[in-house]
Amino acid sequence: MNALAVAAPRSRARPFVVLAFGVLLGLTVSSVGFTSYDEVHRMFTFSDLRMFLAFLGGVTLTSLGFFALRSRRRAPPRPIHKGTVPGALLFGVGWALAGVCPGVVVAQLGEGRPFALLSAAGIVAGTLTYRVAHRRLFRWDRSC
Amino acid sequence: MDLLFSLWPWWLGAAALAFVAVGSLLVLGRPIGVSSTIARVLDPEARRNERDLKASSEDARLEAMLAASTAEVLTLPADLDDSEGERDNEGSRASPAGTVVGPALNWSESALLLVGIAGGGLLAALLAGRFGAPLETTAIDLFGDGAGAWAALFGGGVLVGFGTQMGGGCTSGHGLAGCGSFQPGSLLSTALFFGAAVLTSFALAGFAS
Repeated sequence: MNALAVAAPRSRARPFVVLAFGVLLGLTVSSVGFTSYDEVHRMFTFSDLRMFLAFLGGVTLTSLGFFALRSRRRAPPRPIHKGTVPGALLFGVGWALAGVCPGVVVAQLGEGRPFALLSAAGIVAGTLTYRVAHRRLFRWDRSC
Repeated sequence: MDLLFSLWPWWLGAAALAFVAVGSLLVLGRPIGVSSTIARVLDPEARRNERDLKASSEDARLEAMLAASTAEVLTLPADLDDSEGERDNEGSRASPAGTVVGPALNWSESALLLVGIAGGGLLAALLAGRFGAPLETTAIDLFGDGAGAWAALFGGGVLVGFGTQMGGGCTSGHGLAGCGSFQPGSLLSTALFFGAAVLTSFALAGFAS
């Protein structure tokens, strides 16, 4: 357990660990094909199941790993709230249109693809717009 | 090594995604969730809180503020909070079993994560010889070469940004971590966002043909 304090809050190694996980995530989404509009569209139209299997396999392995850690680590709770359904639907439509989800667009920027700036700008705009909308209109908690 | 130049087989992607999710929970205390990370980087208050705390490292009251600011994404109203533990001054929450929900990344760590993801994309693209690759043909087929594609990319992005904030997560947070821990909000979200994406994609393909 003490070995894992290497990346506890305010430890010196933590920033490097964060960076390393980021690099691995970016490398993965890019190498699996999530940054490719062609591949994403194939996934969502069931023309090719490879990426669906990668995701489902990832969830399965993650659940096994989380289960193994359950006595020492706990992922944050995520209850159903008023924003769950509309938020997910909007996100899904947007993902199909733009071909990206938040992590993927960041990887695309790293891939040096100029059009990614458009989708990234959209994501920033949507994120900031929501903050205003939530303050003025909505009252539910979206903790994650 | 062929894996550097061609797309990974599904099982390698699965293993890598799980490694990131489980590894970040284990070592960082919390699984990675990109949409909340982006929101935090875009939040001037989160940056201010971190600066205030760095300026005075020995003031216990400001330490508590750090805990509060990093814990703010953990905070649930009492009726939604299904863990019954006390919060310690790390901004973590202990549940009765002695397990701990770790604090969220602070502003600097959040920015660093995004830099890392971009770096990973850069590495993958360079290794595969596809740095700077143009928008794929499917998008052109669906939306044309001009304003239509721009609208789809930007407008789709707006929906992604707005929707992930409204729903409280994206593919990493809800999809991997949330489903991996069988959270009801995540299971529902993931089914819905995948479902909506599938329907939209079929509709787009139908309109294009």
